[in-house]
Amino acid sequence: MSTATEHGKRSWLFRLLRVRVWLAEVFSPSELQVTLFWAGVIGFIGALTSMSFRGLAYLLHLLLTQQGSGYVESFRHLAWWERLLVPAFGGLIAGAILHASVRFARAKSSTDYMEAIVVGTGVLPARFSLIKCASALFSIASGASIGREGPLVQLSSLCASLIGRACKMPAQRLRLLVACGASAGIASAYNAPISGAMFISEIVLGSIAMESFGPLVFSSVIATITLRQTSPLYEISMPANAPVHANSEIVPCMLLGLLAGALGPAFLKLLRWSEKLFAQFKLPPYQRLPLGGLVVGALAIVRPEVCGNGYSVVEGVLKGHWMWQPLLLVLALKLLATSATFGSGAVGGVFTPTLFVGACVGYIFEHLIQPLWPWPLDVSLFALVGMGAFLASTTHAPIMAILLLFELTLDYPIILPLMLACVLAHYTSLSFIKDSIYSESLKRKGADAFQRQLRHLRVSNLMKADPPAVREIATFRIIAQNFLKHRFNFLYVTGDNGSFRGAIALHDIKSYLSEPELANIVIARDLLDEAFPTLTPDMALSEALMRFSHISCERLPVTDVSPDHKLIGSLSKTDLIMALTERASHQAGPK
Amino acid sequence: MSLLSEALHPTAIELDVSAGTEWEAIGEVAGLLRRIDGVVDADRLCDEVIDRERISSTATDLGVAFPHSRTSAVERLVVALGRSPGGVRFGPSEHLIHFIIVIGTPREMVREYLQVVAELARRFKDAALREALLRAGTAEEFMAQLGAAA
Repeated sequence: MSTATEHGKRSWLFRLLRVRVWLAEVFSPSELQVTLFWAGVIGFIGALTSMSFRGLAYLLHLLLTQQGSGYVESFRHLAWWERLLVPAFGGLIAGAILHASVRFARAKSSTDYMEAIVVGTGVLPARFSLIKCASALFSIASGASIGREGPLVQLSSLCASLIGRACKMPAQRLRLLVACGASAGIASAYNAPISGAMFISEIVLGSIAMESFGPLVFSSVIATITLRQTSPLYEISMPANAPVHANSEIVPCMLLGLLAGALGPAFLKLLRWSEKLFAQFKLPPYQRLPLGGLVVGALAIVRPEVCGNGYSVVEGVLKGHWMWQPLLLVLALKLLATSATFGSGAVGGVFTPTLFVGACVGYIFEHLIQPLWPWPLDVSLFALVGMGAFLASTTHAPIMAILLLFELTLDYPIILPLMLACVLAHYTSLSFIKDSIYSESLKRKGADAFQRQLRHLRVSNLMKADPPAVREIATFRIIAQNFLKHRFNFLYVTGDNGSFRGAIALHDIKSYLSEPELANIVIARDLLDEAFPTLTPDMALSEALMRFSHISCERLPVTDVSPDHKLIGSLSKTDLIMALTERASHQAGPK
Repeated sequence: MSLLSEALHPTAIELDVSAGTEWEAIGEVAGLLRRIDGVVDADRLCDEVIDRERISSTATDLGVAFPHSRTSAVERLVVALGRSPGGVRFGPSEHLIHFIIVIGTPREMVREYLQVVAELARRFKDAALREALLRAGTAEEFMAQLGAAA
């Protein structure tokens, strides 16, 4: 009876294994495909966190101002002293949160998602990241001149990091998942999936290799679809009925590109100068942030348009509702407000304020050049081109800038002048300043050191410890169970002392899985390929890649350098290619 | 022609294994391969089959054992078959072993090795066939009963 039961169990196991092999052959999900799945999940969660943050910011803003409309409109309805005090009060709470967090939650790793992707291991500390987002919530809700995209990206990156850690992903893949979270955050902030993926590829990863770009696209598209399905709120929406643009506008647009290329570095210098100025006061965050808030409040008494991310002003500019003179004043005050907010250390993004400055520069430029130009110029085109060119100039990411503006407008005729202006702005900006708004920050945080480290990266830095393996005496049944339990196509075999003996290929044994007679006759030693390539921990990545070229498999075993060649880990081809792609992009030059 | 027919030659069949112990029996049957084409080193093949058998017994409850080795001592898959009418005790098995099937496979032929072992194991599961094989008078008759005749 017991023999019959045993036989039944064995048959069931072998049938299950056959199904698994069939599925593996039909779908054969590689690690990259699994990453793609998680990228989609992260996109969905990223969109949900974005919506939650927006909802909370709206409620808090309502609480602070008793106004339910946009930031500029709300501040317009406030008394002068309320305009002064609301940003200062928001800054006080935001600063107090940051100050308290330093006291009770010292983060072991950085909360900066870019740092986690480029410099770090992809681990974002949950508590500290949430505290930063809570601080950003108060700054943003009280009208600080800063973008919401910062905390949106932070939150979705955090979710990605937590998911990756829960799935015990190796550092290389964890970093890619955090990048997917950031991509979802950008996409859901601007309703722009292509730019979301391109932002991370161009600025953070510095590469558009498909190993990383595919998951980024997946994540940003899923985030956008989720957001479109559930919420009509976007950061910026553009007029869709732009006129067809004439070639006569090309030359002024190129001039605008040159101007934006020169002004972008000046804008960055202003932000850095403000940061240094605030640092000189040596104030704790609960005093420094309200001070920044007071500056914004004081400027809001003159022009409430300085508050918030500048969304409504950009909309007005694109519709041509402004005279250039008052807009010049608003631009000047907005620059002061943004540098005060940024310099005081408020948490948030400078991406949206950059778009604001670009739109105003383009608009004012059109008004100044139109009297000198014999052909009519379209003011909204110049505002849009100004946004793109200024963005390209400050981020050093012209492709992302072009795509973002195209996605925001869905207006193909702007593409030609936009592309020219963005490329010119980028090249002009490079002659003034080598670092972008983002790379400068990363450089200060030691990305250079990491790039040096990347060049010296070894197999041991990327390998995953303790891979599944069976002993030489493991029976056919145990081998089958292991193939069923793990998704691998090769099962490693070790000797009594843990030494690596070879690997069994699922492909070799799959036809005999329905032969329960073999269960105890055949052991691992009878099936293993002793010439299976191995890696050592101190091996250079390029050499490891050469080993992969000898065999079609997703991972290779790593053995130690002792005479026994003990199995200590395995290296995934996906992780290796991702690391090599990053190294190639970093070697190509600073981004 | 099946892989088994190619691998098993009538000269590699001994219907009256005289050895009394497990290791002697394996040596006697493996020795049949000395005259077979494709066997580079019969002594080493025998040693490696015994080494493998010491690690894990291939004896089954049906009175059949499959001592085998993937080895460079052979250039092609070869099978030798010994019948012990009185039976030999193999390892911890409670059952006497009447059929000793020694298999030598080149290292790279994992799938062919599995195919032959699976085929033999499947055929020897049939109690009637085992009875018929015990009665077979010649190697040719044995091969015909086994269905391994060329």
